[in-house]
Amino acid sequence: MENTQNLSRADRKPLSRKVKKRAVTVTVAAVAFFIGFVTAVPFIWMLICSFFGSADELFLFPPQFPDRLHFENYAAAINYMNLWNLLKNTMILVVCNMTLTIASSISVAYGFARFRGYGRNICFALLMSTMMLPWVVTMVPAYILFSRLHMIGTFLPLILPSIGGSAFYIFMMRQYFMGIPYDLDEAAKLDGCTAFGILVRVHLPNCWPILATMLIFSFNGTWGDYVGPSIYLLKEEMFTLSLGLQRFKTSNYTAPPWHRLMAGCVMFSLPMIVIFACAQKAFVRGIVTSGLK
Amino acid sequence: MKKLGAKGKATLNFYLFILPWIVGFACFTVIPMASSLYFSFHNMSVISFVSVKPEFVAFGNYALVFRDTMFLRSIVNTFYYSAVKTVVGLAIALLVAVLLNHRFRGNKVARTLVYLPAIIPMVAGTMLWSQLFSSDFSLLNWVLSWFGIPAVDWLGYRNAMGSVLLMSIWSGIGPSMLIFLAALQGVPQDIAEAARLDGCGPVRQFFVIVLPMISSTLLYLLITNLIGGLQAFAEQQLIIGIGTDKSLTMAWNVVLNAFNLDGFKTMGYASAQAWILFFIIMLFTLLFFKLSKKFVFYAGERD
Repeated sequence: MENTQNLSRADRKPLSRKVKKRAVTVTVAAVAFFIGFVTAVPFIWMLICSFFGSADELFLFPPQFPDRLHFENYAAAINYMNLWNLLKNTMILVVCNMTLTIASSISVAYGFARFRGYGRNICFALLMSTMMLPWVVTMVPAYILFSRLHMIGTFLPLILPSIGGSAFYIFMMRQYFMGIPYDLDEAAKLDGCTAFGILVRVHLPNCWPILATMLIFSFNGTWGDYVGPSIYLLKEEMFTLSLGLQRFKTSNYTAPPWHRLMAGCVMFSLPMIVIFACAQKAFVRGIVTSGLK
Repeated sequence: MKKLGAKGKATLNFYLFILPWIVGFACFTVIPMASSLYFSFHNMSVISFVSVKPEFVAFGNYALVFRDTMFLRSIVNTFYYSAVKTVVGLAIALLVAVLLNHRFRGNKVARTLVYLPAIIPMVAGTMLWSQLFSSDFSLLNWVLSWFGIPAVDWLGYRNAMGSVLLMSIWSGIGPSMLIFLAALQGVPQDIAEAARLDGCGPVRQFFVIVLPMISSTLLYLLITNLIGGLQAFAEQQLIIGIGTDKSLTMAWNVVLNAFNLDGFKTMGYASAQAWILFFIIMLFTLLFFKLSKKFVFYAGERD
């Protein structure tokens, strides 16, 4: 019964098959682009807003385009926020966190991938379970710990926790090491290489793609972090870009200077966009890896 | 030195290499968690910790949680936020991924456009949306006016949470979409082709073949999105500013109580709240893993 129905359906449109396929493709592309457009509009609007001459011009019905490109908004935002100082602070955190997290993660991942020590499985289960640990549980005691060490108001509480590496990078790196044949290690060992030497001389020069992914994600995480710095950094001269931008918004007693704020937002987002544009492959790989169970 | 056997040597090397993690795990997970548990049974304040001895209150803090209407409200708010964000966000992400799984010209451009919101740092994103929410004459209200909808008071008491949801769904689509896309590309074409030859329409094909094949990915995204949503606080704080009984979330409540500088000894109370949040998250994770055993198909799995 079902079969005959299908046959008749197939018989009816043998010619229009190609046309139909084309129509489907066009519809799919149209809907995809529509959604893409809708998600991109707020960002485009941010860019447009950063060029308005005054904050009031953002709220016209219907919206207008800027009369000219007011680049002075960018200069004003840089001056007001003391952007170079914010950038310096942010970069200190980014570089320290990046180096620590990645170095630790590589070492730990190598240990998990290559050595069948006692307790390896338990340690790995513990490591993976930390991914599900809510940060709120450790936030309060960590704050007290750092306050007793007199570290509140310094960068240290934001850097030191990176020493353990990141569970996600460790997992990703371990997968990578497990995909490399042991023969390579054995050959280096016969040549008199120590375990650490094998990691540094044999594996590291070959893992650039995955290293790039870690670099990008680590940059991403620290660059845009808000919660950590907002808890631990007290003095304005130590603020990161996130905090500085937020301060810029709230420190005005009148309505926020939206056009300048948007200029600040564009500058703040720019490095991320450049990285995404230049290293899309490494970027996408990292996200996709996080989806593997 | 005594000579170690092969296993002993491996163990030594293993622990040497994972030493950084052991240090980090001990200092920044185990010790804080243990002390958090200790705090949750005491009355103490973030400022008087050194000078005033914490006083033991047994389960007093936990009992207080269930009498604190604001915290109970915040649980409801958090669940609402987390559930809507997860379901709506993943539905859109899956839809886009299915669309982008087709081959068409400009596919990569469309993908980049959808991903764009996710690369904007959170403070920039929330600021942009604060601007869109800030006025009756914002771009958002202008778009609504095309459809004859009067200006919405986005940050009003009733709407604030929905507005935050709008923003966080917008910024969350990208990563989920990419993960779905990778999973979809792993679905063998021949199965779909066979189903098509058997007269299976595209919609039925999707629900009967594709969805079960990517169910492990779907489950993973459900868990991570839900857990992330349950801990949400920065978006709310940055956009709304002051939490009401319609917009306060659990994590936000914990932060407010923990860093309460009015002299109230609420740090222990905050720790108790944090633990309750932790148990809720654990419960959900376990529930999902139980469900996954029943419903999820893992390719290459043998019985």
